Parts: sequence; C-alpha cells; structure tokens
Amino acid sequence: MTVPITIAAMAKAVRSGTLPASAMVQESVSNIETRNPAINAVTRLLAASARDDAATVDALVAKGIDPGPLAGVPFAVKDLFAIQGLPNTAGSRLHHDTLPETADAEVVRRLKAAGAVLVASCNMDALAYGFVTDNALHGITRNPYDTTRFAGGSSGGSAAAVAAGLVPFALGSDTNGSIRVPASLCGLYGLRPTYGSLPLAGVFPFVESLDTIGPFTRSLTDMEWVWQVLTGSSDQSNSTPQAAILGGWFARGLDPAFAPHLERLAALTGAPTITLPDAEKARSAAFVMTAVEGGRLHLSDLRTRSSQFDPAVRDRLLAGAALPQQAYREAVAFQQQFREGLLQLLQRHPILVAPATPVPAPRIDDPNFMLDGEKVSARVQLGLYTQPISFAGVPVLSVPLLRPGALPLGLQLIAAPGQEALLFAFARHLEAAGLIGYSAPEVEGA
Amino acid sequence: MTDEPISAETQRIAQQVSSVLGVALPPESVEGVAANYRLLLKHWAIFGAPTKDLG
Repeated sequence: MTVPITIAAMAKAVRSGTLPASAMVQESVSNIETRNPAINAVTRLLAASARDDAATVDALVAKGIDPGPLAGVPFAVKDLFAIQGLPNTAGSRLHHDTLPETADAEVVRRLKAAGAVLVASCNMDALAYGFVTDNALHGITRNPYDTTRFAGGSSGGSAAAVAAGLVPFALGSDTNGSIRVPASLCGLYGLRPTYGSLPLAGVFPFVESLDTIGPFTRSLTDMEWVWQVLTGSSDQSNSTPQAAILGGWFARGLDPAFAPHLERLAALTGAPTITLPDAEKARSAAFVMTAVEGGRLHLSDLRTRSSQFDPAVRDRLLAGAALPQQAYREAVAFQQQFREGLLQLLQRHPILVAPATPVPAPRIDDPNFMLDGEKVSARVQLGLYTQPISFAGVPVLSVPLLRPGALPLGLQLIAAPGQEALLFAFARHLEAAGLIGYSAPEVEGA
Repeated sequence: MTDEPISAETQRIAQQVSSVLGVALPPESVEGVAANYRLLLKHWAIFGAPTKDLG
C-alpha cells in the first residue's frame, strides 16, 4: 500500500474507496509500534479504538456516505486534550489516576466529525511548563533528526510524532511557544492561531490569558487543510504582503546558521530589518504572568500533593504563586500597551518574520545553550523569541527553513489577529522560492 | 542539589515562600524555589517596579 503524501490526497483516496481507512490507520499504528521506541513521542497508543473508528469510516464509504474532508486520516494529540474514556493527565502524575473524561475536547470532536481517526496521545513537559519535553513520568521525547537531542516542548511528543512520520498531523498547545519551539526543532509547520480563535473546551489549562491550541504538519498544504477543518473557514489570500524582519531582541544569541537564510529572505521579499519596541519587556512580563497564573492554578495541589509534581515544574510554580499580586497587575497592564504597539507595527508591515528558536535542538546530555556568553537552561529559555509574540495574542506560523541534512531551524511568521490566511499566503511565497520546507529525518525502525 | 551549604538568603526566600503560600517546602525544593523566585524578580524588574515584600 502506498499512502498518499498530502492529507487532502489521503482523505480523497479514502472517500473514493480506493484506499481503506483501516489500512491507513493500521499503517500508522504499525509505524508507532516500530519507530516510537527510538523517540518516545507517544504515551498512549489507542490502537483498538482507532481500528474501530477506521472501520466506521470504511462502512460509511461503502454506504455511499461521505465521511468528511479528513476521512480516515490518523492523528495524535498532546496529553492535555480530553479523550473520552481516558483521564486527561496533562503529563503529570497528579492526574494520572483521575476519572476518565466523559467527552472529547471540542477540537478533537471536530476532527473526528470530519472523518479523522485518533491513534495516539503524546508526551509533553508536565503541565505544559517547559520547552524541552522532559517528563518525570514518561521520560524525554527525543528528536527524530538526532535522538541525542531534545524535540523541544512543551508539545514535543506531538511534534516528534509528526516529524518521524507516525501520524500526518497532531495537535499541541502553545502558551509561550510550546508549538513553535518544537516545530522549529523538529522541522515542521506549527500554527499558534489568534488567541481565542479555537475553543479550549476539554483542554487542560495552563495560563488562561495566553493559552492557545493548534496543529503540527509536515507541509503547508496540510496545515491549511487542517486549519480549514478546525475553523470551518475557507478564507484564502493570494497577496504577497510587505514583510519586515525583526532584529534587536530577536538577534540576541542567534545561531549564525540563521544568517544566510534571513539574507535570502530579505533579498526575495525586500523585507527591511526593524526593531519591535519593548520585546524584552514583553518576554519578561509573559514570563511573570505565566508563573503567577500557573502557580495559582495549581496552588491547591501544591499545598496538599506537592510530592506528585514533576520537581522542576513544582519549584517554578511555587515561586510564581508566591509572587506579589502587584507583579501580575503590572504584567497585565503592560500586555495591553505592548499589544497596541505591535498592532501598529503590523499596519506598516503586515507580516513580521523572526527566528522561532535561537539555536537548533540542544543535546540531552547538556540541556543548555549559550546566551550572551553564559550557559542558560533550555527548559526555561528556548522560548526567548516566542514569548514576546504570543504575549500580544497575534497568530504565528512557525515554518521550517529548508536545510536538508542539517538540524532543523524554524522561523516565526507573524500577522495581525484573524490573519491566518495571510500567513499561509506569505509562507507559500517562501516555499515556492525554496526557502522553507520539510526534509524527512532518517528514523530508526523506518 | 549540591553539597554546598544553603545560603542564608536562599533560606530566607524559601521560608517566606513557604509562609506566604502555607506550603511546607520539600527540602529538595528549597534551592530550586529560591532560584526561581530570584529569576522572577529579575524579570519583574525589566518591565515593572518590583517590591521587596513577598505575597
């Protein structure tokens, strides 16, 4: 059996009856069984329910009923999306034995209603607090491009599963960069949509002021297809908007490997390099807001069951919960001011471009990277460039620079709220010019 | 954790966090909580006007 490359073609083959959903789902299950041990992306393989759901899709096709635009397409979700019949753990021992969910998360329901088949749930930093996917309960998710390195986080399991070809797409969450960081390190497209654009019903919260969810895919075409299903929107843009590259804060500690790619982008698009005012302040305010809201969300459990927290996460939450209310108030006030400034900049330059991570995937045996001549923690600092942008609630598409044979690196494409179609249009322009694109890793067991 | 003795400053921060939250800090968390608290104060100073008092 040859599975088509794009998600749309997979669904088309199933809808036309030329490829059984059962066969496609079985291939995904088999790929997880053979390839996952090397990367530890999947925590729960849902083989039985996936086979049942695929059989249901095939039965619909046999009756002449269209199962939908994702007919038979396998997918996975981060361990913080509710799955009916299973506990929603958020990757934490705290919730490992909680009662099973009575319904799927709303976005999972939408995908299943379009014919997609859920085959697995995926590893994450506990409670979504971290940028590496190093989980005390489930272990470290390894990067498919180099298994001695991190996949990034906190949605690292979802990203690694897609990059390694276990599933065509997966859902993650992004509060401060938890989709964009692993997308960058795993060479994928990852969308952090406009804040509030996708429903969070059935998604375990982290920082409600910043939380979003979105997909990882291997191609831009797939991303647009999944986005249209998730939102019911068919907005398209064919314009090539005026772009600018963000320097200043977004050049601080930047790996020199980015330079030739950014030079090519500037030559292709005529994008000037500009500065986003107060980016450093925004990053710090997001950092504080996250610690305070996250700490307060979990305060009851911190008081009564602190031993069940992932230790690295527990210490950060405790510190955040103890910070004076004044710090949080100042962060909220600054958020509004910063957002207004960024929106003004987006009026002049409808697309802003910035690196997604300062460096490629850090090594697991040295979980740090160099910043301003000092070693800093990858778990804490990999979101250096993502945090200021998400703080403003604007949509961001992380795209993989085309670097076959090299460790992946990603760019953030940033637009005004609701302008996801513009992001896709600009990315198509970069893809057509050979600047961005997915390069498959060599995966053990493949 | 290291074998180095915990500094008085670290102990002071950890005790205050413990007192503010009503949480008995696990011994292995004392240094981690204090380090994270200091990091948060550093970030707060970048965009705001931190006070020295906890909670």
